Amino acid sequence: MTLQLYILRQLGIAIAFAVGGMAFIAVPGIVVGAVHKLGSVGMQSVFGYLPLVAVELVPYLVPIGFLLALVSTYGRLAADNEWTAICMAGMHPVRLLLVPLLFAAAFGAGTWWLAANVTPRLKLAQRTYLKESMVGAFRRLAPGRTELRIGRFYISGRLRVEDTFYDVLIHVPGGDVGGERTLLADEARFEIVTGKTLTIAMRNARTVKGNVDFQSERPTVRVNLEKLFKADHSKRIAGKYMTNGEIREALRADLYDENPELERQLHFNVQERVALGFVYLMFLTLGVPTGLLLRRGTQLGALAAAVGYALGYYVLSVRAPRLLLDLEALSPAAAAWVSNSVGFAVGAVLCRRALWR
Amino acid sequence: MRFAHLEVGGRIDRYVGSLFVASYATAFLLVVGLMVILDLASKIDYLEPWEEGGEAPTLLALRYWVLNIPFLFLQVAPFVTVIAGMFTATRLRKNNEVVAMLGAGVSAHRVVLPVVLGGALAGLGMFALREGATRTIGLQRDFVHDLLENRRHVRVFEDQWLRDRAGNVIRLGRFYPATGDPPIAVVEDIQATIREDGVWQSITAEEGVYVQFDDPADTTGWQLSRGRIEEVDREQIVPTRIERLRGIEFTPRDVLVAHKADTAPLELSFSEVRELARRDPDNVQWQTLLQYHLSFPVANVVLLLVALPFLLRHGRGKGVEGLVLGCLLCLFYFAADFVARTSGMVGAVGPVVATWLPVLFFGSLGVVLYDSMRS
Repeated sequence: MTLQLYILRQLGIAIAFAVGGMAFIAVPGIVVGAVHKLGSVGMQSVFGYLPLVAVELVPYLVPIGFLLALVSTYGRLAADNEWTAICMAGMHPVRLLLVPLLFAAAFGAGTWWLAANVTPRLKLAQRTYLKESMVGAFRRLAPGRTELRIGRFYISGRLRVEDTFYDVLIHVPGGDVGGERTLLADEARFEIVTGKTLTIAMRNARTVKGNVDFQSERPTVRVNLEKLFKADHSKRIAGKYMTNGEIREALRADLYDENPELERQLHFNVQERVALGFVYLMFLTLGVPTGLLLRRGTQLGALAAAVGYALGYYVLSVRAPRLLLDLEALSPAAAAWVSNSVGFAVGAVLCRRALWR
Repeated sequence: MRFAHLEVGGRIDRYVGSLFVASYATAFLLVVGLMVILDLASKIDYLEPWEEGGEAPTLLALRYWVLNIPFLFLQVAPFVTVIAGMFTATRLRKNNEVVAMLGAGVSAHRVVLPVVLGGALAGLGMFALREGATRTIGLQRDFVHDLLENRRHVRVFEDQWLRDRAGNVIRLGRFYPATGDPPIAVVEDIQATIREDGVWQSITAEEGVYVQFDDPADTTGWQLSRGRIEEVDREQIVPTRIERLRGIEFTPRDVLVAHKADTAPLELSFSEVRELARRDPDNVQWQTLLQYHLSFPVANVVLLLVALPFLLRHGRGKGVEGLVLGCLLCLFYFAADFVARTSGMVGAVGPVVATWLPVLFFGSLGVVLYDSMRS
C-alpha cells in the first residue's frame, strides 16, 4: 500500500505539472488562434470564445499530459534504480501499474462524457459565436479603423475622427430600400440606433453606382444590421453536432433508414467517442515501457518519443478510421478502434520488452 | 578578449551555448509538436467529407500542416526560447555546475550570458523567418488552407475590397488567383473610384485579366472587357470605354494580401503590413501590427531576463518554486501583451503604447531581476 501511495503521489504531481505545463504552452496558442480567427473584435469576445475552444482541446491535452507524466515518473523510478529494487523485492511489475490504471479509468470516463455530451454542443456554439462577435464589434464601430465591413456592407474613409469619416466611400448591399448602391461623400457620420439600425448622415453625397436621388444636401441612409449577414446555408453534419443521447434517439426512431451512409456515420461517432476514452489505457501501454527503456540520460529523449507517439496517434486517427469507414472495409465500430488498436499493438510489444519476467 | 573574467567564446560560453542549443531543439520539438497537435485538433473538420461529394486529399492536408509549421512556431517562438532557457538553467543547477562556476569567480550573470544572447539571436531569427517564410511558402500555405477550409478545388474570393498603391478603393466582385491553363489571375465585376485633379471618377469593368503587355513602359497590368470610366459628379455624360486599367495600380498579390488582411491580419509579414499602412495611413490596425512585429521578437530576451533569475536561485527547495514563479511571470507577460495589443488594434490605445508598454514594463523588471541575481 505504501508503494502504491508513493506512485500515486509521484504520478499525480507529474500529471499536474505536465497538464499545467502544456496549458502554459497551449493557452497562448489557443488565444493567438482565437484572435486570428476573430480578428479585431475586442478582448471580451476573445475571452468568451476561449472556453469554447479550450474545452474541445481537453481530450487532446489531458491524454498527452498523462503520457508525459507516465514517461517521466517511471523513467525516474528506473533511473534511480527504484524499479530494480521493487522488482528484486519480488513484486510483479504489473502491480506497479494499478495506480496509472485507476487514473486512466477516471480520465477516460471523464473524456468520454465530455466527447459524448458537451463537445457536440460547443461545436455548434462556435459557428454562431463568430458571427455574433463581428456584429458586436461593428456595433462598437471599432474606433481608429478607417475601414469597416460587415457582410457585403463596406465603409472606407481617408480619415476618421471618432464616428465621422472623411472622403468616404460607402457600399450598401441590395435588399434594403434603394437597392445596391455605392456612394461617395465628403463627410459621413455613423450612429447605431437601438442596436439594429445603422444611420449614416452624409455631406455632399453623390452616387457612384446605383439609382439614388439625393433631395437634400445632407442625406441620411439607414441600414438594417440584422440583414447584412449571409445566411449560413451549410448543412449540419449530423453526428458531429449531436450528443450520444440525440444519436440514440435518432437511431431508435429509424430517422435514417433511407440514408444508410449517415446511419453508419452515427454508429461510428458513438464508437469514436468510446475509443477516445480508451486513449489513456493505450498511452499507458506506450508510456510506461518507454520511460523504463529510455531511462538513461535526462529523459528528454523519452519525452520527445512520447510526443512522437501522440503526434503519430492523432495523425493516424484523423484520417485512417474515416477512410476505412468510407470504403466499407470495416464496420463502423471496428473503424473507430483502428488507431487505438495500432497503439495497443505497439504498446504490447514495448510492455513485453520492458516488463516481461 | 575577455568579458567579466571569462574569455568571450571560450570553453564555458561554448558549453553553456551548446546546452542552450540542444535545449532549444528539444523545446522546439515539444512545443511545436504540441502546437501541431492542437492545430490538428481544432481543424479536424478539414478532413471531413465535402457536402458536394469528395473530400480533401490526405496528401494535401499533410502538405498544409507541414507548410504551416513555421507559422505555428512564430506564434509561440518566445515561449520556445524561455523553455529552452529554463531547461538549460535547470540542467546547470542540477549538476551543481553553477556553484562550481561561481566558486571559480565567474558571476551568475556571465554564466548565462550565452543564453541571453541566444535569445536575442532567436528574436532576430523570428523576424527573418516571418519575412522569408511569408515570401517563399506563404502563398502555397494560404492556397492549400483556402482549399481545405472552404472545401473546394478552385480558389475564388468574392466581394473583395482593397486599396491600390495610391490608396484608391477597389471592389472586385470575384477574384480567381489562378485559373485556366496556363494559370492567370482573373477578376470579375471590377469597380474602382479614383480622384484626379479634384474630380472623382468611377471605373467599372465586367472582367479583367492580368497579362503581360508589349509596352516596355508598362509590362504587366489588367486587360479589361467592357471597361468604362466616367465622372461621378457630372450627370448625363457618356462613359468612356477603356481596354486597360489605368490610374489604378494593383497586382494579384495585392489582392491576396488584402484577403489575408481581412481574414488573418496577425499572419501578415512586416513588409506586407508596411505596405498596407502606406496605403491606409490612418488605420490604427496596421500601425499597431507594424509595432507588434518589432516588439514581439524582443519578448525572447525579455522572458529570459524575467525567468532565469528565478531558476538560478540557491538554497534548498528553491528550484521548483523558482520554476513556478518564472512560468507565472511569463504568463503575465503574455496576458499583458495580448491585452495591450488587442487594445491597440481596436483603437482604444495608441499603437506604440499598446505594443511597447508590456515590453518596457517586463523588460525593466527583467533587467532588475537579472541584475539582482545573487552571485
